[in-house]
Amino acid sequence: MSATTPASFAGTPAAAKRRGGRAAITLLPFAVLISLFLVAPTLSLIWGSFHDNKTGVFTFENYSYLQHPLDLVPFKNSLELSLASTVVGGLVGLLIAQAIVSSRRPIIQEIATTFSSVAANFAGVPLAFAFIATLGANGLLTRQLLNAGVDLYGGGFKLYSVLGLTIVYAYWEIPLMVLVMLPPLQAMKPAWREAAEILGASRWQYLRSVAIPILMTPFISSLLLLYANAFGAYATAYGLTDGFVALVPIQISNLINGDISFDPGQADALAIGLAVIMVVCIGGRAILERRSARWLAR
Amino acid sequence: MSRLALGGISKRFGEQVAVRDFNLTVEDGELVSFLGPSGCGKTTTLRITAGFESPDMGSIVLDGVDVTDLPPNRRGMGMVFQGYALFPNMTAAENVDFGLSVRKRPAAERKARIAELLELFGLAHVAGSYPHQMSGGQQQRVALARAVAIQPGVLLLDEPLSAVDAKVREELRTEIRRMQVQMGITTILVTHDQSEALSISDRVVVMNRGAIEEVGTPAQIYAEPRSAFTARFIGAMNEIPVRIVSAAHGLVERGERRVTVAGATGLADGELALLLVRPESLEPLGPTSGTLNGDLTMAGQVEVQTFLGATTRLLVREVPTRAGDPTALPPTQRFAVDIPSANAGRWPTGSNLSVKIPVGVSRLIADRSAPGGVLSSSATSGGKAKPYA
Amino acid sequence: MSGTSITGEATEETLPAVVAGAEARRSARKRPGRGPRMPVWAAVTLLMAAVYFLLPLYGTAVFGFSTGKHFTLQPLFDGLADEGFQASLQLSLTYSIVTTILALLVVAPTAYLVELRFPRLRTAIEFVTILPFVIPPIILAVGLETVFGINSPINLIASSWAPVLLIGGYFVLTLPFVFRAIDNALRAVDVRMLSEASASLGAGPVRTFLRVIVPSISLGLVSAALLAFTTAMGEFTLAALLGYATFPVYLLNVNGYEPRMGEGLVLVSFVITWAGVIALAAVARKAPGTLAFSRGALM
Repeated sequence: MSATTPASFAGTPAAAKRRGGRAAITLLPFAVLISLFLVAPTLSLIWGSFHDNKTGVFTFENYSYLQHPLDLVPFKNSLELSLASTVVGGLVGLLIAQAIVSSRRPIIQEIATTFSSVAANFAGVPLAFAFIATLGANGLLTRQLLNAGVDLYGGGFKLYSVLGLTIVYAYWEIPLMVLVMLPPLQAMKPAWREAAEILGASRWQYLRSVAIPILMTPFISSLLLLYANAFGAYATAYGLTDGFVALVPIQISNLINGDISFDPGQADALAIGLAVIMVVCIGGRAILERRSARWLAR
Repeated sequence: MSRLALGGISKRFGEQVAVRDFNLTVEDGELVSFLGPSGCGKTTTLRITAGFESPDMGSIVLDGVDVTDLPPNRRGMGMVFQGYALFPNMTAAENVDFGLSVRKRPAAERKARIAELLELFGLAHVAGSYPHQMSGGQQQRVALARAVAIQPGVLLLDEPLSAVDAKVREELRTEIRRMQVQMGITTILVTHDQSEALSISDRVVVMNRGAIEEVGTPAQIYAEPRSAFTARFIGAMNEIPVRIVSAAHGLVERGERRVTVAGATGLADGELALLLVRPESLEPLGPTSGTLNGDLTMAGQVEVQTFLGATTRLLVREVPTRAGDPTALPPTQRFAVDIPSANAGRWPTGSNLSVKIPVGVSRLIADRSAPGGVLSSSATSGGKAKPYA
Repeated sequence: MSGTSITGEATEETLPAVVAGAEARRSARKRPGRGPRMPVWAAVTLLMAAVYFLLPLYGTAVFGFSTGKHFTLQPLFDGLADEGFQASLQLSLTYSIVTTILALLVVAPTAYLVELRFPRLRTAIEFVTILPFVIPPIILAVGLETVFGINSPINLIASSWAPVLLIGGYFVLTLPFVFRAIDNALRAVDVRMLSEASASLGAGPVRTFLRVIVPSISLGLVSAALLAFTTAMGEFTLAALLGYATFPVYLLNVNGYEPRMGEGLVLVSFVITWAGVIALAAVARKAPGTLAFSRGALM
């Protein structure tokens, strides 16, 4: 018990211990739920990835995909798709976020923020179908463009290609970028700019020496979030392709649900590979966030 | 020669007049404070001087050159912002260097200047620290060093001490003054803290509702305020009701006594007016006190003693000499008397006290706008006067 | 996720007014009498963004609301009347509501006790609440399948305990949002001071929590509830892989044989998302810092 313990919690050490015990019991449901539905699945995944799912013998066989170029195709596709949608979402989202801040109209800021929240959450199957209706082989825009003389599909475009998926993923990557970059952009103090100005700096000198260095940390951190977001996405890709695209999440689902390719051990190993990428992104983000919070604290 | 001349500056924001016909010349090496309640236009005037706002009317002349249309980055002024606005991505040294590097000064010169300034402000040990690693006082010093590094023609300080705590504030304001005198930098200080303005300024500009209320040395402003606003805004002030017997002869009445005072012209006979008297000007009357020499008196019971250091402030509830006296203090109000702390034992709580109101150092104002009773603000309360209740 | 709440520093009372005044002046610079000017590039950017974001919705509406050439709301009515739709929506609603209640009941007391009594557990809890980001639903689905699936000794999926499995999974998926919303609210009020004040007046811990803490973090609880509910309503991956016929899963299936009806129901789904987010925005206006979330990573 520390010195700040309120008087009512004091008393005999035994009484304090009893109360502490009662408080600890309150934490029990949380601990049980987390153990059952988060920790146990994660551990079994790790265990499963190192064991043959038929014989139960310890093996590295499940990770053999790391050595076969063909088995790495889903990783290559996922990396490309995530990179593309991160770059597109990151740059366009940054532009839109700055436009929202520069609009200086509270009403626009409010509408844009709310709509970004909707769009960032309008992912998965419904989004896939919305794009099929718009940019699919018989989609509205596809037909309109065809009438205008632009044959998308004749030109080799496919909605379920990496390019097509990038366009669809951008639908939530862009607004997500807007949502995560708005706070740092809004935290940029006008006085910084004024201080630079009165010290003799031009607009460009202010941007180069002050604004860009300050915003670089939250920007990179946001890109990491976008990357993880795209890499782990399953529903949108599945809705668009019915499972016929070689991406890591799709491959994992085929391995546990598929009739032909059923192999839970390899699914576990693939999932671990995916988790490693997530840990790198989210962990890197957590480190960067800490630095950014110091600079942009109000 | 005057260093800076602000001539006829006016500025409106929409329907609201922020600054009204502001005229001021600041002499070389002078420290002038803009003092006033929030919203009085002092910050806007400073921002117009810096070039962040453009005036609707008027001109800013710096060293004989009209700079009204120059952007801030070509005015060669230094400024310390409220909350400092230090660049969070730069160390103390890099912040100080910013203005020099923008000016493309030779590296050796920059290095020497930074070292000199950090030394002068006692920052040498935090040269490599980032703002978030520094204390409020240190950040404030870095902001000052950054502003003076470019050897500005005029140094503008926008509430520079509002973000540091009381103890550091007093220390820093002395330091600002020392540095300002030593470097001979012409400085404008915007503040809502009267003790800050009075303690370190050569002159104080008291502002109210966008206009200059009065300009004077701190001693003038405190001892001989020319406007009722200044009198009330600066320091603690008793407002004692009196009745005008004859405005033409300056004859006023309080209780059973009548005296002649200055400044009654313009008031109507029979009207109630207020005498403004500082707590330290009220003289307690002992049993052996001599003649009153045509001064007014006031008597009552001590309710609270507040120890202020060298002096002790007595809050006294008036006991009117006769019932229904229109010049008696309203029952919810108290008057304040400052006495040397050594004498405090003579008037414990509950004791009776009579005081002389020396009309020679009092100021008469009409009662119309008066909040009434005792208006007071302690030296550090931020200038917002609150009547004792 | 960025979710820092904006708490004012304790400064002199006149200061915020001064700052606010200067702020207003700054933004009104050089535009007497009128609102601030919006830069052209900003207007163009926002307009183009609006086109990109509205186009797929328009495409969906055109496809879903026409039979060949004519405008009709029939596919939508068909969809709404469809028994499969109704059953799946009911299932989704049930799971979402139960998840929401469970999340609030479990997370709120936990977050409160961690803040008040077990500050040393904070790092651990924060780590746990970030985990669902690291372990997206596709991974969690595989893990849950291994532990509680058909090939496991504890086969929940094929038992009458099946709902528990999905709700447990949803509890984990919504945890980051729920915990963050409640924790932000708890940190915005001085929990320790409130609890000590309540205790000094003679209230026990339970009464303190229910009568003092819960009312003072009510906005955070509403935020948390909305976040949990909308997340669970839209969740597809866990449900599909573990074999539950929730609304998003039904949506995928119906599109296979009745595309127009599917597109009509997409708009229903969109309306649900809108309703949830607008309700959140209304709450966030009173309690800033809760809005910036995205379910994208969890899809």
